Amino acid sequence: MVHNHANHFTALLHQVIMDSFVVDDLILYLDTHPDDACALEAFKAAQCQEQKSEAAYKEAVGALIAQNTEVKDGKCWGWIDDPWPWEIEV
Amino acid sequence: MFVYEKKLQYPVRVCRPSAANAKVIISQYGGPDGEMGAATRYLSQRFVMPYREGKAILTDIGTEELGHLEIVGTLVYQLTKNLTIDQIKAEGFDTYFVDHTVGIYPQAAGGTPFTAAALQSKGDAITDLYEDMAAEQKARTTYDNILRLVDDPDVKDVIRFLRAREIIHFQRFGEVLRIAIDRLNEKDFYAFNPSFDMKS
Repeated sequence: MVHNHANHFTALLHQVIMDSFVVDDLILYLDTHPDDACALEAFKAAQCQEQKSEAAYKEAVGALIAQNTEVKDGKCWGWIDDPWPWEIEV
Repeated sequence: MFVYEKKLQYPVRVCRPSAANAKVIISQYGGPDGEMGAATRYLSQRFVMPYREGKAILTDIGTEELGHLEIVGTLVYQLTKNLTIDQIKAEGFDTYFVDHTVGIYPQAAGGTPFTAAALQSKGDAITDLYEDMAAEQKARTTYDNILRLVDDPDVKDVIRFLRAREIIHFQRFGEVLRIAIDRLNEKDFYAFNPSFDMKS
């Protein structure tokens, strides 16, 4: 992989990881504070941000879940493509 | 139903192989206070949890623990990749290597294979929540011990993240415990088992 591509890939991945962590943490908070209006607003914003960064990642790298794999004409099944999360080397 | 996401909850990038570090970190994969036990505990306890906040928190924390299992497995994988036989012998990893080579096997640092004997699913929401809070503290102490034993900053950074999550989980379980107790008879919280005696 070209170095610039690797950097771009890593930046997109880190954006997804950061944005989805905000969502993960708010989910736990909302589980025990289901009426907290402020947290509900924060969740909506975080959800929106996560969807954006996941879409950018999917466009450049691929789907994060097998169910969202995009089948392209003339291309084989992309879900099996490396890297898997444990083998990312940057 | 579970869906796999092809990413870690926190990035792991370890450049320096270390059998010595892998040897202690494997305990959080399959040891008595490790992530496999945590996920198994919460995802099993949730079936008889009567309160909606509790069902959600056991499901969501249990799921996050599966993500942490993957992070710990990744740490051990990257720490043991490209080790030489001399390093494996010098750093005392030969006793693991003989049985598993550098495959990832759920065991405690001392070699005991993963066992459900270190966890409970008692069928009483109050009892289980106390167990869960204790479990989070035990995992936090284990991560503190790992931080005392490991020098590599790339490894410590990930361990600090996992340690911080134990503290958040402890807080959330404490909130569910308070919610559960608030819904019980104030004169005798332990007069009955909300998971068994409260028929829906």
